Amino acid sequence: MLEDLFGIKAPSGGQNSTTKGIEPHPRNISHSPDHKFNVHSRCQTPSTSSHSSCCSSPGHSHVCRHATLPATISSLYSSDLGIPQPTFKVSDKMHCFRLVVLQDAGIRKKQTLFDSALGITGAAQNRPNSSMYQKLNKSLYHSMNELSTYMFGYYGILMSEAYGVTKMHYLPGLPSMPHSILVTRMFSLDSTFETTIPHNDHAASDWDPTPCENSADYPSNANNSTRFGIGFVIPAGNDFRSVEEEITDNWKEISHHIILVQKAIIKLLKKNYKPQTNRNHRTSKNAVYGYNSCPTVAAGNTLMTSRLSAFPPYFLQSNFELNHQFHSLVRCIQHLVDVPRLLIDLKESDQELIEWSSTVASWLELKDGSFTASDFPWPFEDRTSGLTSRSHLKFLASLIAVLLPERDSIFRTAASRKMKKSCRVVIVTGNPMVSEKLIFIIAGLLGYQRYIVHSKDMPTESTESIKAVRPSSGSSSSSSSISEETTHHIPVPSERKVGLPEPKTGLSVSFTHDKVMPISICSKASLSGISSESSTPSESSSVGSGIIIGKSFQPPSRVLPLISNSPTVNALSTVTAKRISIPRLRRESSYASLQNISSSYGGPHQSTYGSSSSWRSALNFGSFMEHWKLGGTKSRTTSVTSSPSRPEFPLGNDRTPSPMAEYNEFPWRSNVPGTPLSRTHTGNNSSSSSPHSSGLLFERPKFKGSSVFNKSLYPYDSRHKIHVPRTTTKLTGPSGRQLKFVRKSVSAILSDDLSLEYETVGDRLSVLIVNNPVPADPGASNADVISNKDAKLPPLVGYIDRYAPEFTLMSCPQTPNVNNSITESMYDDVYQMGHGSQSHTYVVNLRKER
Amino acid sequence: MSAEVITIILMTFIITLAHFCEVHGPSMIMCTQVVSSQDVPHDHYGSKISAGQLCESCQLSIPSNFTKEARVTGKQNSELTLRPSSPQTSKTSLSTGSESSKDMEQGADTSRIKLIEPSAIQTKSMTSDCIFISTQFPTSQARYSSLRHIIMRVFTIETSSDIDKPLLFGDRNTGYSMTLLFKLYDKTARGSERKYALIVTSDKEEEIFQNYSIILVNLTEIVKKISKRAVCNDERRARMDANSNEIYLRRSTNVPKPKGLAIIMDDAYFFVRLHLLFSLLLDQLK
Repeated sequence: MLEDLFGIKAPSGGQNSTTKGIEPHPRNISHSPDHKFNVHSRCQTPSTSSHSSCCSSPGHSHVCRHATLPATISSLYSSDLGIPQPTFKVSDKMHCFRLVVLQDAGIRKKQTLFDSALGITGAAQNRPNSSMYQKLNKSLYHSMNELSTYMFGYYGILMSEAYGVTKMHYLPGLPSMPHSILVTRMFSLDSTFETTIPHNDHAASDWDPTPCENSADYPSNANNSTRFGIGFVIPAGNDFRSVEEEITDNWKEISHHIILVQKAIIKLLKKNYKPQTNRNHRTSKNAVYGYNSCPTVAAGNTLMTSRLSAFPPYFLQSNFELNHQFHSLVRCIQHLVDVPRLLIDLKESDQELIEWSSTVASWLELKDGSFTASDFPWPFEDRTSGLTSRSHLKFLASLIAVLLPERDSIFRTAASRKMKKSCRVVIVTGNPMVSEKLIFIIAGLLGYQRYIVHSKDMPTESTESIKAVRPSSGSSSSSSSISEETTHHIPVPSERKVGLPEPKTGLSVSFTHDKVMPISICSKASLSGISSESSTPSESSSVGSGIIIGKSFQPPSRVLPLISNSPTVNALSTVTAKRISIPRLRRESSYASLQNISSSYGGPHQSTYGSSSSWRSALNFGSFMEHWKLGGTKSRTTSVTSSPSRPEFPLGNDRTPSPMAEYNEFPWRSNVPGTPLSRTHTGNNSSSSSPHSSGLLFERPKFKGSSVFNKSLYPYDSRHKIHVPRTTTKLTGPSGRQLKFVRKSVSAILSDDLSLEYETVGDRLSVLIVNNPVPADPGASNADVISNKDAKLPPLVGYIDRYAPEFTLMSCPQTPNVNNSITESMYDDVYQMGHGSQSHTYVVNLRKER
Repeated sequence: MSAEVITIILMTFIITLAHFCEVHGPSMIMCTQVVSSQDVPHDHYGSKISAGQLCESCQLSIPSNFTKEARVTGKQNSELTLRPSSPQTSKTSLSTGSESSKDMEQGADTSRIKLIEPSAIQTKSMTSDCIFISTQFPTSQARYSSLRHIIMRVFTIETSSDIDKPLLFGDRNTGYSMTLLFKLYDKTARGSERKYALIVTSDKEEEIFQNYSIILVNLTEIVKKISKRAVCNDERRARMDANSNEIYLRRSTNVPKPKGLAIIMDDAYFFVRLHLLFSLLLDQLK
C-alpha cells in the first residue's frame, strides 16, 4: 500500500570534486543510511520503463489532461484573461529543435557524429558514400557547414584552447523557422578520454570565472586533444523577450542538460574507442580508430591526419542514450516555457481559501471511512460558513505545517541551491480538479507575498498573519473551547534570511519583517492525536511550552494514516495566532487514511466508482455524486427541499466544478477551435457559455483592502479583478517602464551638460570625476526604476500530465514510474548542488493505489 | 558543513569598448569596472598611457583641463577652483556644455594649476555606495588577460549572422561575455568602416544569462545612438568638405589613417559620456 503522505530524502551528496576522471553519475551515489523520511521501496528500484517513454518524437509528446475553469485560472494565475501564454510557444515548434555533434577533423573539415534532424535511422543512409544520401529539409534545418562555422569559429581559426566553451548565436532565418538560436558547447578529448576540472590560469581574488555547473571537462593531455562540439538549435520568436523566456532564463537547466549530453558522448566515444598502433590501417572505414597514444608521434600534419579519420561520420546517430538526452532537453524547455507558473493572490481572510479548503476536505472526507452519518449534521448546520468537513481540515493544516519550514526552498530555487538544499512537493492524484485546489491552498499559504504587496490601507493585523476568518455566524462552541486550550507555536522561517542575496531574477521588492507573515497555527494540546514523539524537535526553537517543529522536523519513520479526530474547521478558522502541531498518525482506522482518497469521485479514473462501499449507498451519496458529476444543474435549494435529510455538500462544495465542466486538455497547448479551451481565451471567462458552468460561476472574493502587484507597478482594477501583465513564467509589467528609462537616460547622457571634477592623487595619478545624475523618471526614483525588472515566477505549477523535475510544486497523475522519476531527479539535484547537499521531496498521494 | 550555510557571491561585471584597429588588430579602448566602497579607488586608476604608445584609434582620450582639447572658456575657467580634499589629493571642478568642444578654441586659457593628465573616469553609483571607474586597461592582471582573450575571440573567431544580434560566449578560463558589434562608416578607414564591440563580461556564467535582456536593451540603445550620431556627423562633414577647396578632390583625404571615436563623434567628452552609459548599465546589473 502506498503511504498517504511520505517524504523522500535523498542522501547527502557525497561525490568528491576529484580533479581527475569522469565525475560519477548521479545514480552512482550511494544511499545514506540516516534517512529522515522513509523512502518508498519502489523509489529505490531502478526504472526500466522510463527510457521507453522518451523515444517518441518531441513533436508527438504526451497528451495531457487538465482541469481548469476560468475561475480556477483566475485564482491560480491571477489572470482574468485566460491561461497565461508564453511569448513564444515552444510546443508549436517542437519539430524545429535539433541536436548535432561535430568533431574537429581539421581546419576545413568537421565530422558529423550525430544529427537529430536525420532521425535515429539516418545513420546508414547518410554515410557520405551512400547512394541514399539524404538531404536535409533546407527550409527547416541549417546546413551543417553553417552550423560548424558558428560552433568552431570563423574560417576555422582555432585557438589553442581545451577548455569547455559555451556559446549562444543567433542563426539566420529559414522559411520554416524564421528565428532560432544555436547553443554550442565545445569540449576537448585526448586519447585517454580522461577529463579533469581545469586549473584556471586567470583566476584571482577579484576575478574567478565560474560556470553554471562545475564539470570536469578539461582533457588530461590538452596538447594532444581534439575538439568536439555539441550544437543545440532552439526555435525562438522574433522578440528578444522570447529568447529570454526560453533560453537565458532557463540557462541553468539547459546548461545542465547539455553537460549531460557531453558526458554521454564522452562515455560513448570512450566505449567505442579502439587504440591503434598501426597507422597504416587508419583508412579502413569499417572500424573506429582513435589517435596514437604517443604524444611525440601525434604532432603536426601527422596528428591532423589521424584526427580526420578518428570516428566515422554519424557514428553516434543511432545511439539510444543520445536520443534520450535530446528528448529530455526538449521536454525540459517545453515544460519551462509553456507551463504557466502559479501566481496566487491569496489574502488573509480570504473566503476563497475557506471554500476551497472545505472542498478539498470534503473530498478527503468522502473517501474516508470515518465519514459516518454522525458527522453529517454538523456541516449543514453551518452551511453559511462554507465549511464542511472536520477531520480532513486537519490534514490540510498538517500538510501546511510540514511544508511551511520548507517554503524558502520551494519558492526560491536559486537561493536554495546556494544553500545546497532543494525541495519539491508533488501531489500525485488522478483528479486534477481537487489537486489544483490543494495546490492553490498550499501555494497561497506558503507565500506569494513577495510578488503581491498589500497597500497600507490593508488592515494591519491581516498583514501579520494568515487568517482564515470564519464568519461570525459560524462561531460555534468548539471554537471557544479551542481557544482555551494550550497553544503550541511553530517557528516559521522568515521570508528573507539575513545575508541571503535577493535573486537577481526576481523582484527587488524589499521584504520587511512586518510583511513577512509568521504563519501561526494552533491546536489543542490535549488533542489525542498530538504527541511529541511524532516530531523531532532538533534544531528548533521553543516558544512557550508544547511541541516545537523546526526546520529539521522529522516525520514519523513510517507514514501512517492521519487520525480522524483532527482539528475541526474552527481550528483552522482560528489559525490567526495559534499553532497546530503535526498530529500523531494512528493506524486504528484503516479508512482514515489518504490511501482511500481515490480519485474515483468525479475524477477521470472512474474504475473505482462502482466498487464503492455500502456506506455510500446508505447515505445516498451515489445520487449526490451523480448530481455533482453532471454539473450540479439542480439548484441547491431544490435539493435540500426535496430531501432535507439527505446529506449534501454545503455552499463551498457547490462551487466545486463538476468534472463535466472541466476541460481535459492542457490549456497551454495548441488551441483547437471549438474546444472549451478556446472559449476561455475569448470573451468573459467568468461567464462561460458552457451549460455546465452555469451553476459554477465564480467571482473573485471581495478584497478587504486594495492589493497591488509589485510596488504599484501593476494596475489594480477596482472591480476586484486582477490584470497582471504576465506570461507563463514572469510578470512583465516593469520591463516597459525600464525600457523607456534606458532610452531616455541614454539620450540625456549623450546630449546633456556634464559636471566634471578633476582629482589628483599624489603626483602621479589623476582622475576625472563626473557627476551626472540620470534624469529621474516621473513618479519614481531612479533606484526604483533601475531595481524593477521582470519578475520571474517561482517554479510552482498546477496540474501537469507527468512529473517534471523542473518544478518545485506540481500535481501529476500516478504513473507507474513516477516514484522512480522522483528519485532520479533527487539524485540529480544532489549531483548538481555538490557535496553536502540535500534534496527533499514531499509526495502527497491523493490517488488510491491498488 | 551545514546545508544552511549561504554562500554570498558578489557580482563582477566589466564593460569594455573594443575596436578592431587596422594597425594593431583587436584592441581595448576603455573598460568600466565596479569598485566597492571598501576598495581603494586609486588602485584601479592605473597609469596614463603616454601618447605614441597607442594609435589614435586605440587611445582612450580623457579630456584634461590643461590640454588643448579640454581647455575651458573664460567663463568656465573662472569656476576653476582648487579644493584640497586631503593632503595628497586636490580637486578642480568645472562644468561643460554640450557645445564645449566648439567653444574650446575661443578664449582659451591654459590652466594656471599644474595638473596631471587623468588616467581614469570615475562616477558614483546612483543606487549604492560603490563607484564605477573607467580606464584604458584594468589594473588587475587577471582581468586584463581575460579581456584580451575575449576581444581576440570577438574579432577573429566568432561570427554572427546579424551584426545587430548579440553574441554570448565564455569559458571557465576567461569569463563569460555578451557582445554587440557595430560598425561606423568612415571614409578614412580601411574598407570605409571601423568596427567596434561593446562587451559585457562577468566571471559568473549564470549572471550574464540572467541579465540578458537588461544588457541587450542597454547595449542596443547605446549602439543605436552612437551610430545615428556618427551618421549625422559624417553627413555634416561631407557637406563641409564639398565646399572646401583644400580637400576637394584631393587624394590625401581618403587615405586610411587612425581616428579616435571621440573625433568621429565630434565630441571631446564622448568617452566621459560613454563612461556614464556604462555606469548606467552597471547600476542596473548590480
